[in-house]
Amino acid sequence: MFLPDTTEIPRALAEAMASEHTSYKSTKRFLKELPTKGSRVVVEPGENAGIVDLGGGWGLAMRIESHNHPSFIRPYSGAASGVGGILRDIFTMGARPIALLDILRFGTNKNAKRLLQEVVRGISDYGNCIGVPVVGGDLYTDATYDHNCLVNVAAFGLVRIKDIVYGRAETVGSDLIYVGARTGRDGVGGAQMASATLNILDESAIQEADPYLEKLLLEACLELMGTGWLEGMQDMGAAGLLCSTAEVVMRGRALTGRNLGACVYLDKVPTKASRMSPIEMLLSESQERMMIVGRREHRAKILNVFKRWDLETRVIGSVTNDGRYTIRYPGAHGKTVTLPMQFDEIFPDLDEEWPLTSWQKQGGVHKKAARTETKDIWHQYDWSVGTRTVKGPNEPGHYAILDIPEIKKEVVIAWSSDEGRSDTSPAQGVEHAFDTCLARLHALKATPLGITNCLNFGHPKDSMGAFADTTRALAARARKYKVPIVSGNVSLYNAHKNHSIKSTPVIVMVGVR
Amino acid sequence: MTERKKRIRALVVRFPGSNCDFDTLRFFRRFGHEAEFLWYKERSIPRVDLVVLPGGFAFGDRVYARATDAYAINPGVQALQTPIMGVLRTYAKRGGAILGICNGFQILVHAGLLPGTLVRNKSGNFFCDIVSCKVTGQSFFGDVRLAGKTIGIPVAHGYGRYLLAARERAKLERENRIFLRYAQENPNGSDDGIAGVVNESGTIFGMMPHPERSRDAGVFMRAIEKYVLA
Repeated sequence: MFLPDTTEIPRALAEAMASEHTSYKSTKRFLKELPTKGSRVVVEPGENAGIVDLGGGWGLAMRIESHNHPSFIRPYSGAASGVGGILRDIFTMGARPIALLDILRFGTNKNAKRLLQEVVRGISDYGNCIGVPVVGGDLYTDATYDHNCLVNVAAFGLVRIKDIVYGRAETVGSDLIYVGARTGRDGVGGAQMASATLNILDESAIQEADPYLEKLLLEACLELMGTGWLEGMQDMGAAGLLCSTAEVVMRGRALTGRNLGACVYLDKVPTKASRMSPIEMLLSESQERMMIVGRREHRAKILNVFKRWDLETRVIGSVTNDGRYTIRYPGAHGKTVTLPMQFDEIFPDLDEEWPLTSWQKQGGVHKKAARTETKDIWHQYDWSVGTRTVKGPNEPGHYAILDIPEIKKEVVIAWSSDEGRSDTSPAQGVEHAFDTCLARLHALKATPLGITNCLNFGHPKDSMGAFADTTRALAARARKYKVPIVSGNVSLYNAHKNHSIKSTPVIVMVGVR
Repeated sequence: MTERKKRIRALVVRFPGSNCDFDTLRFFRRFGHEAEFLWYKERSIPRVDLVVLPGGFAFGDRVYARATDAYAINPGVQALQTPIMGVLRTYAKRGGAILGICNGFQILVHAGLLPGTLVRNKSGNFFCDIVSCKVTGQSFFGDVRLAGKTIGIPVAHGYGRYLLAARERAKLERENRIFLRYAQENPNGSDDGIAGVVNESGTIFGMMPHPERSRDAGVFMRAIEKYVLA
């Protein structure tokens, strides 16, 4: 492993960048098997969200994310920031979010009831304020989730295909613009947290969520679409400022073949806590922050739009041509740290060997929540804002129908998972989920366009075999029926002490009619 | 010769955090009317038929000095200090028509342009569903064809409980100014199931349910058309 110097900064950065959450190191080789291409796929996995072609020049951005660990530790903030994160993934692409789904799995003990209440309140406060309807979801209870609840949130957004924005920096001299909330100590270490089992956790790693700031960000960012002033946009999500700036440049390098780099001035970063260390600033996962790659000549106009929406904005760096990631930290203890831009070389995939042919069966009762219980939940979500909800949670069925008057069509979203079956036979479980979604789309005469999935699994030692079987079976089905996987999320380490959850692969399939 | 319908010119006030802004714009446009946004920092209003304060969370339901600073929750209050509210008061004094929906209703009540108060739902929770409402009193925009009808209208709010002192309530009742009531389920614990009220001169309407989201949006638009174009 090559590190340019042995000071504290590069080591901490290396750990953050290489953690499971940010690099998918142990699942990458399985995910590679999933088919991601198709005639209706506009954006494949690798960007902030996948996009499928709805026709008439419009696309649907789609993505699902888990916020399992944070929601268990601080259910209200954890669930709320989960909604915030997935919505940013959607509008970062230039898409206006039009729908959310909440897929919940909770335990059967007393604590689980309290967690569920708080999670619902978190989702409700956040989603309602922003004005994106929760058009569906489901709730199952099972003792397997007593120490690891699952909170999966899917989001969908509408975008004119010609106005799609990517998370890229392509031009030397372009501005790296920081906009949104100030950077605090919240969330430092969050990316590593998702890769740890739940007995060693720290509450301070969970971010505070602010839906109003997110709403301002959303409107301001969408106002910039189609202006040509932007080169790219990236949410400051896992591993924060460091990851977002590095990612936009790495994608730009891959795309243009140029030896691009980045220079970031940490003294320009707006902070809410005093005396933050460079590492804290780089890795903070404070929510509601965006990294804008702006064309230098349009700087004033970009800053003006954010100002109009009362948002704090700073130019904190620029895209360089030296192939290096330079962090400048002026002042009395000033220093400059330089890393080579080929992060892949610094942080090689750690191919840990987990058992791949066996998994830990759980058994136990898996129960669908009663309609009276789910009714109390969806009553707390604004499911009709946006006036697109043709079929929402007020009618039964694991699907939603959305009106798209822009092209006089409707989008059908179907979701399914089958933990009962996945527990004994992972392949059959995911096949059943896939078939259920496809049958729903066919019954509603909708053409399937794509899938986003959330693969919730236990500790790799208990579940890597099930994971391999699941992805293999899903890949086969997706190939056979030509429904590509356009985005997704993996959540491992849903485990507590010696107990791992039942494998819970959630499939969300989208069609148009 | 075909008779061309006269078009309504409406303005939809846009505060940061208004999230039914686009829905309300579309509500007018899909019935062939003209509707534009009116930014909350504007200091004048062009000549129009109707101004709508849409639903949502103006300023995030918060009262604050700066968007990133500390805040208190009180829906509708922060909007009162904005330039547009000063302009709206003058417009209202001259008899201009205003419709406040949900958060817009909250703002009108705080501004004193409509009586009563709107507080946290009795359940303590946000509530969203299609709720059966009965058109009462002088009706929505005075449309007698609607009076007595029961219509399913979506509601979605956390602070929709309408409270009014008994004497004031009797006065409103007498003057037929309660134009909408929850017909069966009272989703927020409002006094007398009140869902919408109008001011004394019959020009300013406020309601918690969302006509723009209703499957019967057309009947509400016809009432507005009749009122504006009379």
